Amino acid sequence: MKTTTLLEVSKVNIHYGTNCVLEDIDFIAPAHTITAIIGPSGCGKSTLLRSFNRTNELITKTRRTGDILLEGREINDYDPLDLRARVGMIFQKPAVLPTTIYENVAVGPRLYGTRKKSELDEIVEESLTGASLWKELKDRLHKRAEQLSGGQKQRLAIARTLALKPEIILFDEATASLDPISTQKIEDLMHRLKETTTIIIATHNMKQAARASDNTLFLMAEEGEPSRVVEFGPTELIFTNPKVEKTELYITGRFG
Amino acid sequence: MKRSRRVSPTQAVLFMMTLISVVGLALIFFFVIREGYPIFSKVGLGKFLLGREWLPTRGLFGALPLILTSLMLVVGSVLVATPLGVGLAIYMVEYSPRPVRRFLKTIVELLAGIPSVIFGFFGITVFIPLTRHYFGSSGFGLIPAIVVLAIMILPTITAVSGDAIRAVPRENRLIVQALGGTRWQTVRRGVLPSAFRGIITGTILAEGRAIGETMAVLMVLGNAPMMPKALNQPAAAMPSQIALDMAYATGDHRVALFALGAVLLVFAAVLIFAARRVGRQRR
Ligand SMILES: Nc1ncnc2c1ncn2[C@@H]1O[C@H](COP(=O)(O)OP(=O)(O)OP(=O)(O)O)[C@@H](O)[C@H]1O
Ligand SMILES: [Mg+2]
Repeated sequence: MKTTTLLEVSKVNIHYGTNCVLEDIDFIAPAHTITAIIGPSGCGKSTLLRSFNRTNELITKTRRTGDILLEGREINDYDPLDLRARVGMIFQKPAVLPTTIYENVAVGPRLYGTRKKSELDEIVEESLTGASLWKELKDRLHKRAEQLSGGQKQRLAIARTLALKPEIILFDEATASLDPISTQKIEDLMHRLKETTTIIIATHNMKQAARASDNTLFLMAEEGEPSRVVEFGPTELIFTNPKVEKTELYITGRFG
Repeated sequence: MKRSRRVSPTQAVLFMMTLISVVGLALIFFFVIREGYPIFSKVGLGKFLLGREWLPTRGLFGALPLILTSLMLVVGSVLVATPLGVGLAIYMVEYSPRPVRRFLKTIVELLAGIPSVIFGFFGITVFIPLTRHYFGSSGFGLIPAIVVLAIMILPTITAVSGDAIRAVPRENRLIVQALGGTRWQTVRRGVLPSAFRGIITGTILAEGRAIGETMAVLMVLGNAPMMPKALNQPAAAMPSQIALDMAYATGDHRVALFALGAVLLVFAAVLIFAARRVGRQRR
């Protein structure tokens, strides 16, 4: 079946210390879809994404209640390190490790003990191909990754994530610092990656959410309250015929 | 708008300070080399640097034993102190809970401030008996000197590599963490490669301190200016030998000490330039 639910989020609250930033979050991400999380700055998009691979708990005193199920199983029951291999993440700032292009992709498999050069070679080629970088970079694999452009670095980050064959990839404003052409490349890439993975993006770019996603989750807070789900549904509906007035105001840029 | 062409007081003070340090440095080089130069022309530079016998009272000025000993002290103490110092820095920055980190930081700072003669006492009361016990000699020699020097340069290595580790962008850690890296893997693959140059700079600065250290070394090394044959045997290093002989040296002997000083100065300068080169390549 193509429409199995891969990630199910229900009644999730997230606190930083005593400060509740997200309350009663519900949504599902079916397998092989792209979900866009939109909402004003500070509404907790990054926080929510980071809770899916449990990297939020590395940052501060943070507490999450409610259920987040990956393939029906609470993510807290997974080993956090295994979970992170299955749920990859791309960040806003195009960052690379200070080493070669090859090693930037091979780092993930190396963490899990892959040593053999032939195996690594194969994974690197596959992952770079998956990130539409192979043709561009195959002759420079052993050059430093720092020399790449921002867009290339971001695709390299995708390749790095792909090397672990993740089921979900989280994009946290991954195109926010890129030019339109690089952004377009990443969006095309997301579209292609749907075949093998499920994607959740956080974005400020309404056009991107409208263009690239299948479902949209709109989060927003009332003054002094934690953010809640304002509306969740198929992107087409949210952008053409929102049920809630706030949604329409936000996506047309009239507030937020 | 017209800008005043007059030199501001700040500029004047800064200029004076620069001038004083440049002139001071030049004078140091000038005098050391001027005072020592005659011995190079008398016995020959090659003979001075490669001669194996330092018996100034008999007119033998072979500095090789002293140079070799100094190099062994530097290499030995850096080999001992680098893993410890870098390890301590990694532990402090990446692992230790805040109160432990504060405590260690205080310890390291205190260690950096202890006068070297106190380290000498420490070597005499602790490491010399230990060396005697385990290596069956008088106890004086390269082993206690290397250990004492390692402790003395540890704070430099820890402080400089700690700064380098802290300066690594958070993204580098996040990359490895988000791939499911363990804490150590995060340090190893996300942090250390970026901090590497800083760590090297720290060890080179520490080498500079080790090569010039006089008092603590003098107290534990045994001061026998012979070719260093074994780590448990007494030896003599350049700075401590200068300090010892200076008290009574006259004539050629005195000149030879200045020449030795010039050699020491060159070694120290090379280390400082090396540190700058590595540091400049830092991203
Ligand atoms: N480490 C933290 N400690 C305490 N509070 C935090 C922390 N990180 C985020 N917050 C708070 O949580 C709320 C949500 O932040 P988050 O970064 O998730 O928002 P966001 O929607 O991603 O914003 P943006 O669109 O600007 O990226 C904000 O009010 C923020 O101040
Ligand atoms: Mg964010």
